[in-house]
Formats: sequence, structure tokens, C-alpha cells
Amino acid sequence: MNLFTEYSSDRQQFIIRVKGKFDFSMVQEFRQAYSELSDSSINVVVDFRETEYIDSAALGMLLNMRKSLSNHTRPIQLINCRPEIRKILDISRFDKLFQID
Amino acid sequence: MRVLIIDDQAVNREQLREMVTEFGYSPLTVESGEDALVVFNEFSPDLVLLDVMMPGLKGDEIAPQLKKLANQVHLPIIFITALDDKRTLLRCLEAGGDDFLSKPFDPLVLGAKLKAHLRTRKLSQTLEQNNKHLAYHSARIDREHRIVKRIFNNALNRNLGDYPYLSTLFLPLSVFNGDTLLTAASPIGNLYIFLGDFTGHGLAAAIGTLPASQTFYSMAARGAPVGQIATEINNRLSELLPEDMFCAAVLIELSASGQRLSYWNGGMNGPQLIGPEGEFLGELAPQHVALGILPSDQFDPAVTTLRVDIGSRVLLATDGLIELGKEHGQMLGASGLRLLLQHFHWEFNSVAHEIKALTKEWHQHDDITLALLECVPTGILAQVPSTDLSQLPFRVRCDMTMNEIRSQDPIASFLRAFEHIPGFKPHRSALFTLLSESYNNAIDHGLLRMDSRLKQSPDGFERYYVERERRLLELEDGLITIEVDYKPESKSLTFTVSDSGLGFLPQKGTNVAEENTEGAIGGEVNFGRGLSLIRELARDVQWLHGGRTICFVYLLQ
Repeated sequence: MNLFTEYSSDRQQFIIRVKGKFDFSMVQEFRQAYSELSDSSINVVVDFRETEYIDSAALGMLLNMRKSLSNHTRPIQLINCRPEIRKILDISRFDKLFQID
Repeated sequence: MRVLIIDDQAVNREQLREMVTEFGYSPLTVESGEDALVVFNEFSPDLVLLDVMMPGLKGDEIAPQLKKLANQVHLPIIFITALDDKRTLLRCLEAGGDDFLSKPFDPLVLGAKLKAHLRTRKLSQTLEQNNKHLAYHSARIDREHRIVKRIFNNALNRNLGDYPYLSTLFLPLSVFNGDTLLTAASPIGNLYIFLGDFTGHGLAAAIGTLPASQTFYSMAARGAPVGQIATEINNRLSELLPEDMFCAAVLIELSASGQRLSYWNGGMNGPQLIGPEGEFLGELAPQHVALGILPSDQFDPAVTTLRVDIGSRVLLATDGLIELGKEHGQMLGASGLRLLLQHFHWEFNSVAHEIKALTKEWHQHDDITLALLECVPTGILAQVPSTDLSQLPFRVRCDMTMNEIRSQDPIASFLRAFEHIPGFKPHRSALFTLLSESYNNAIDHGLLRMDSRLKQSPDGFERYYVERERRLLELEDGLITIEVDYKPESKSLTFTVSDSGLGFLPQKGTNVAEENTEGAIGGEVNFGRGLSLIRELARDVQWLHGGRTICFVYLLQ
């Protein structure tokens, strides 16, 4: 298991962390992680602190999530990106689609 | 019990010796004060019967000297006298006499007096013994404290030494502090702060800071999330601490940008969040019980995250400060502390000075820790130590048939090998992306003829990978070659990835990713992104052999 999810203590945030390699091998697990979110006011956060590698399949998965959660009121946050990951997100102009910190 | 009898008259000496022997004590008789001083140390008397009137040294002259020889232990001196002269009696008392015995000697009186005075002597001896023990233990504890203090200093010295946006004040009650403030940087430049307050104070309270700090530092170095760090510290402490001891603590993580604050608070009075204009925004209130209480299966690691404006402040204080003055009916309190800082316009040194003054006025009862954190970009991004690039050129080639393609992960293997080549490690993320994109393109489009348009719907995205898996199992013939050529002089890695398929060429002039976002269709087209990653991360991208080979150069700079 390289994917972890947790709620913040006020349950206003749902955090997904991917450890190590974020690529197509995560497709199902990643989809499942957010598929049961029913509360559209919840703030979805992908925490990249432990993500070392990322490729275009992961970018696709993030876009897919964005599409699935389009009824959510708050933008999806991508946080704790190390510079190399940030670069990949920037190349694909994800800053326009997600809130990146 | 030894009794020294000093009398110049043989009759008296004889009489006293007999009586003393009768009572069961060991007597020694001497004729003069001078003789008494000679035998004193060897005989080491517990009591002295001293004649007042003697030739040579008089009784009241000898008494002080004998007392002196007896050191710290009380030596009862009973003067033998026939005098009723009050002035002489007084002089004897002043000289250190404890009692009188008048001639002729009454055995009953002598017996009673000896008994009483020897009891005092015994008490004094016990006291002296205890004092010696006490002094020994005190010296030993001092020495042990010095050693332990050293260990504490070593254990806690991994804090960020000169982080400019955190001001601190520590006022422990004793050498050892039951409060602990730890700081560390994460690999991506986030700042961690741990403020803990162990039950009680002194060494017993401080001891828990050792395991807590070691866990904190090692988890922080890995960049672990706050909830996980709290979980680990809790596990350590609940294993180690006795049941009645725990640690109220707050763990804070400030993002490298200085604008995101996550915290886990267990039983610590809430740190106060202050806006850039000095306005009070609220407390980072405790959501959990303190560390070291709950077993790991009941522990709740949930954190709270909030966005803060640049220039906001977090004010952290332990109970020792919040409750300062409680005994005087004028407890400082959280709001009092805030007012104090506002009063001094957040100038920390003045505040610290004022608090020190207050502790003197109101008397401090617990360890005090105060910290003021400024929320600004941390500027502590860990510098990757740059090692010199390997000067050894190499070329690797990996030919994969369908068996290997189905069962092996060549990208992971390449990356593992690259990690060990000097100077390659900082590039591993980019190398992963390049290898992953080119290799998966060769499989998906070269060998399997997958249609990326399938990925456009959420369901399709998953169907795409299911279909890929199916085709991968079915395909009988296929070959992929990955070749990597390293040239130290140009610091370049040339990748050549070929497949035995029909070839794959990108549509002319398309950069789908750009269209994707700039064309305002916001992710409607969920493919083509991989090629733009290769184009951006590498240079000299070429398609050869009718699209069956992609070739690009990555510069290790």
C-alpha cells in the first residue's frame, strides 16, 4: 500500500498521500480513494510530501479526479510538492486547474 | 562509650574511674590538660570530665581546645568543681562546658548526667553521619546531573539553530526542563515545531523529552506528516512513561510558503493565531488528549490545516506562563499574554524581559516556555549536496521481449542503478519521468496500438488500463530496446527507446497539454501530456524509423 487517506480533525479536509511512485499502477487505488466522498463541501488535498516520482499517467489521474469532483465547491489542493514534482505540474500548467502550494 | 577524666588529684581520678567503670563505660584518666590534648585523638572520648582548678592549663582553657578537636560532633564536657562561685561557673559555661559535677561525687547524679550527655553525643554522632551521607549523595547527584544535562543538551541540539522567524523564551524551574520546544526542517522546506509540557517538572519530567525529541527529529527529517509524527511520539511515550505521566503537546507544520499551517494539538492550551495587523484570529485549540495516554489503536492522528496570511503570527506558551500569578489571584492568562505582546508591539525581547520580571514578582511554580512564530516563507529548503558527476562514460542497452515486458519493471531497475552513480541522484525524478513516458509510449502506442482518446472519460481512463493489460497478455511478438548513453564531457544522457511495432508519430505541431489548458477546455483531452513532459525536460527530441524510435538528450545540470 502506497496510498494513504485521512480526514482532518474537523472533517473539512480529505487528504490523499501517495508514497514513492505515482504512476499508472495507482489508477484503481487512487480512484477508489476519492470515489466515496459524498460531501461536496469537503476540501480535497493531495499531499505530495512522500511522492518521489510522477509521470503523465498520474497527471491524468489528477485531472480525472478533478472532473469527478467538479461538483465540489472548493478547488483541489496539491500540496508539499518537491521542486522536481512542481516542475512536472508546472509544465502541464496544473496551476490553472488546481491550487498548488 | 569512652570517658576522659582530667583531674590533677589522684583521689578524684581514682574515684571517678571506678564509678565510670561501674556504669559500664571505658574511662581513661590523665593528670593535666596538656596530657589530655596528647591522648585525645587516640582515645577519642565521647565525654569529658574536666577539673576546673588545675595547675598549668585551667579547665576553662582546655575545654575550647577539646571541643575543637571533636570537630563537628558534639563533645559533652562536664566540669568537676567544688566551687560555688557563680562567676567561675559562668566562665566554664562560656568556655563550652555543658554541665557541672560537684564534689564530693554522688554516684547517682554522675550516672544520670553521663547517661543524659552521652545521649546527646549519640544524637550528634548520628546527625554527623547523616550529614556526611547527605553530602556524599549531593555530590554524586551533582555529578550525575552534569552528565545527564550533557546528554539532554546533545539530544536537543538538533533544533534549527538560527531560524530567524521564531523567537523563544525558556524559564525552567530547575536545571532540567519539563517543557520542550523542538524545531526541524522537512526535506521540502516546511518547518516543524513541537511544543511539549510533561507532567510535573525537574528531571522526572524532562526525561520524557529524550524519546520524544529523537522520534521527532527522525520523522521530521523524512518529511512525515504531522499526524504521523504525533502517532509515533505517542507510541514511544505510552510505552515508556508511567501511567500518571503524559505530555501535553502541540505539533505544528508551517509550509515552505509560510501560508499553510497544519497542527495536531493534544491537551496543550491553544496557541494563538494573530493576523498580520496584530488582530486575534483564534486558537489552535486542542482536539485530542495529551501524548503518552492512549494506546496506539485508540490514538487519533487527525490534524487541522488552515491557510494563513503572510505576516501572521503564532503565539505558543506552556501552562507555566498562562497560569503565572494564579496563586496571587491575578493569573496572566492567554489574553493577558496577548495583551502583553500587543503592548510591546510584538517586540519579543521586551516581552521576555517583562515576563522575567513577572516571575520574580509573582513567584514561578512551573517551567515556562514562550515562542513566537512568524508565518513567512521559511527559506529552509534542504540543499541537496551536489556531488561531482561521474567521469566514467557508459552505455547501457536493454532488449526486452514480451516475457520481460510483461514481468519486469525496467524503469525501476534503471533508476536503482542510476542512484549509485555519482551526481545522478538529484536527477532521479526527471529521469523517472523521461523513462516512464518513453517506455510506456513504446508499449501503449508502439506495441499495443492503444487509443488515447479512450482516456477522456473517468471510466475510460480505467478501461484504458484494463484494455492495456489485456492486450499486453495477448501480444505474442514484441521487442522494446532501451539504450542510455552517458557522456561525462557534455554531462549528457542520451536515451533511445525503440519498439518493434508499427511506429508512433505525434500529430504535427501539437502540444496537447497547452491546448488543454490555454484552450480553456480544462482537461477535456486527457492524453498527449507525456510527450510535452519529454519535450520540456529533455532536448533534441527526435523520432526515427518511422516513429518506432524516440531519441532525446537529458542534461545533468
